[in-house]
Amino acid sequence: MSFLHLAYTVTWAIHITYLGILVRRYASLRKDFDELKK
Amino acid sequence: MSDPSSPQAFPIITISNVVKQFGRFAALRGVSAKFAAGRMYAILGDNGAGKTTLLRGLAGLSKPTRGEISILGSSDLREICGEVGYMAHPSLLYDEMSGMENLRYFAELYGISDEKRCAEVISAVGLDPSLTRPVGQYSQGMRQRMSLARALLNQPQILLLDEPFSNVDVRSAKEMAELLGRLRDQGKTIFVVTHQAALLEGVADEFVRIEDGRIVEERPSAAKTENKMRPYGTAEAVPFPSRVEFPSGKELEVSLFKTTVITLRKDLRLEWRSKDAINSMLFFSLLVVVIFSFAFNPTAEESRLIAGGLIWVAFLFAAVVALNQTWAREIRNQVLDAYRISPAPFNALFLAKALGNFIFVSVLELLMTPLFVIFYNLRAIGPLYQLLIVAVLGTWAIVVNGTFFASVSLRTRAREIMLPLLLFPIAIPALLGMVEATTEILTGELSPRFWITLLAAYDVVFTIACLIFFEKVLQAE
Amino acid sequence: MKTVFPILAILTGVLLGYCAYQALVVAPTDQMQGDIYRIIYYHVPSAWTAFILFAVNLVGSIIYLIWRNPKADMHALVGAEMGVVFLSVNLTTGPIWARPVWGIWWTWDWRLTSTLVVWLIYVSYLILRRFSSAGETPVMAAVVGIFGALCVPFVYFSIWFFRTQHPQPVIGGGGSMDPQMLHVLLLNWLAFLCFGALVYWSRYRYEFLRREVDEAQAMQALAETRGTR
Repeated sequence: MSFLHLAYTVTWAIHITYLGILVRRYASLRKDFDELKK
Repeated sequence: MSDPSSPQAFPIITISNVVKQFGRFAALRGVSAKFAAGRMYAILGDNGAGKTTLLRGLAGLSKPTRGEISILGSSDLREICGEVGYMAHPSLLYDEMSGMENLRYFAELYGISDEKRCAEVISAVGLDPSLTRPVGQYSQGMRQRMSLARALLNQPQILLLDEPFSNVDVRSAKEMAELLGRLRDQGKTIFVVTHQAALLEGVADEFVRIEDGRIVEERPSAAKTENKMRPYGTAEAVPFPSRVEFPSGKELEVSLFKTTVITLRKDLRLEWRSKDAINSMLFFSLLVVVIFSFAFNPTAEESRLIAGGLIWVAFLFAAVVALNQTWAREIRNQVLDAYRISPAPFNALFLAKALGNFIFVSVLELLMTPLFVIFYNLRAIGPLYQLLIVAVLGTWAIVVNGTFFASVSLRTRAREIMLPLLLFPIAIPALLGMVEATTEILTGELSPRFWITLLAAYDVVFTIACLIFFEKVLQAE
Repeated sequence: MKTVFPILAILTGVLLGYCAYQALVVAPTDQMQGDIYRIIYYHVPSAWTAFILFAVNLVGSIIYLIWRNPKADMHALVGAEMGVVFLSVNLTTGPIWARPVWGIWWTWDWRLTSTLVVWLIYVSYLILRRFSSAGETPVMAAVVGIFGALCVPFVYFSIWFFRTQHPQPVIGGGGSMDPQMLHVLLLNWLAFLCFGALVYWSRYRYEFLRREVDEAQAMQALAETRGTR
């Protein structure tokens, strides 16, 4: 992989990792919300 | 039923639907109450019921999450802090100072310079004012009495006492209860949190029970009136004027300068006795210097180029040791709370701490610099007065932010780690300035004027910022 | 907003794709660096976006301290967190660029060094938020956020002077940019701003909901009586 493609890949890897963390947090929040509703 | 027209009938304290939450835990759950002046209230309840939280709220140490507390007609509890005396479960005293020394210091925080007053309150609680033993060597009972003496120092109209009889022998506890009764008879309003209700039967006017963060019942003392229990909330509401005046006649003169000086003097005295900060800083910086010598094997010429960096990094690491200890004395026995409930200005505390740290780090620099010169064969080519200016500005840059972030890190877990984590990134421009200026003076290659100007600007900006924000940090609870 | 968000996400995705095409294919090749310079189209917009987010953190912190508005605290948190993410991209693409151009992964030139220090400042802000007690966090964080912002000009100025005294290889070079390259750079910045705005909205929404859930749980605790005595 050239350095150029590495840079672009790393950029999106960082953003996707952050989005993944957000999605996981949402899922956990959803669970808390459902428990509260009960 | 008391005469509605007498001052005693007017609520001196009004608590309106107060809720106090710590995260998800609710320590107080909608407490409403009116307390009349000149009475003694015994606050009872199981552990964790919310008694201490209520008392801390009344003392102004803990702001309610919702609701309002009004004392002497004012909801700004700082305004009337001179009228309140507070005794907590920890002693709120410095273990390293004698009883008299402690009281002299706290008296000055209230603008009281009369030493006779200190001796009087110590005698009033049954202790000897001439005792020179540090409070840390007192028995628990003696410590409780001295803590009560501190609460009485400013002749407050309202006394808030959290478990004053805890760990006190029966005879001493009875004497304390009788003393409190006499104080109530003089017109003081007293709140006593206790597990020993029997001690206050016949002394307290009312017993208030708290359960799960709520007041659940209130009854008059059995020996004082008929022993009738009635649920809370059935007492008739008593009208009260917008402000109740009490003839305390006290003018509390507490200046920023004076408070800074007395607090600094106290810290220097304590450090002189223990030498904790200086010794640990000296040893730590010596270790850093030795460890650095394994990383480099410089010639004399190279030493001049890297010495500026080495010396300031060593001082910075050593300063963190002292800065971590800055507030250690204040949070042991929760002495910081005693300062917070006094009328003394908060900025005075910050300035005193920063100046104290400045002195300690300067002493370290004075002692370590000759060693550094010897180890690295240094010789300054530039003017030495510039080195002095850099040392003063650089040291102030480290201690002003360090003192501030040490107070911030008090509110965090892993306190010792948080201080360097917060301080080091912010200190980088100043560190760069110190290092470069020192290197330029040692090598004589360039003028350090730019770095000295940068350091001066940094010091001004961050000193002002620290003074502006310190109160918010201190009162963040 | 629920129906609008997917549409905006798709539009942003299209824009990002178009801008990536512009950056990788359409933009002219640099005479000196060759194709490797195209990293600039991700490297620089990430930094610019990060600093906008840090400015949001500063404004949020000031508003919170003055008016104790919880929404301001949320904006401050989201601004700092996302600013650190974008700056991480900048700090990672920098060395990837430096390696083929200068033969070294890292150089302590003033831009990279200053950026690293600013990154450290805001990481310490996030660590403080994590380690402080719940009720006190907003005030502490607001104060540290303001201190961090006050420090940023000192960081840049001091390191710039330090490095101009001691010249080092500079990433990105100086001088003006080809107009077409500048056009593509600004386009990519726009795309990253749109992307950043979407992620910001999601993160803010999460924070808002999390605090509502916390509040509801606290109210529930308030209403319950504890079973143990």
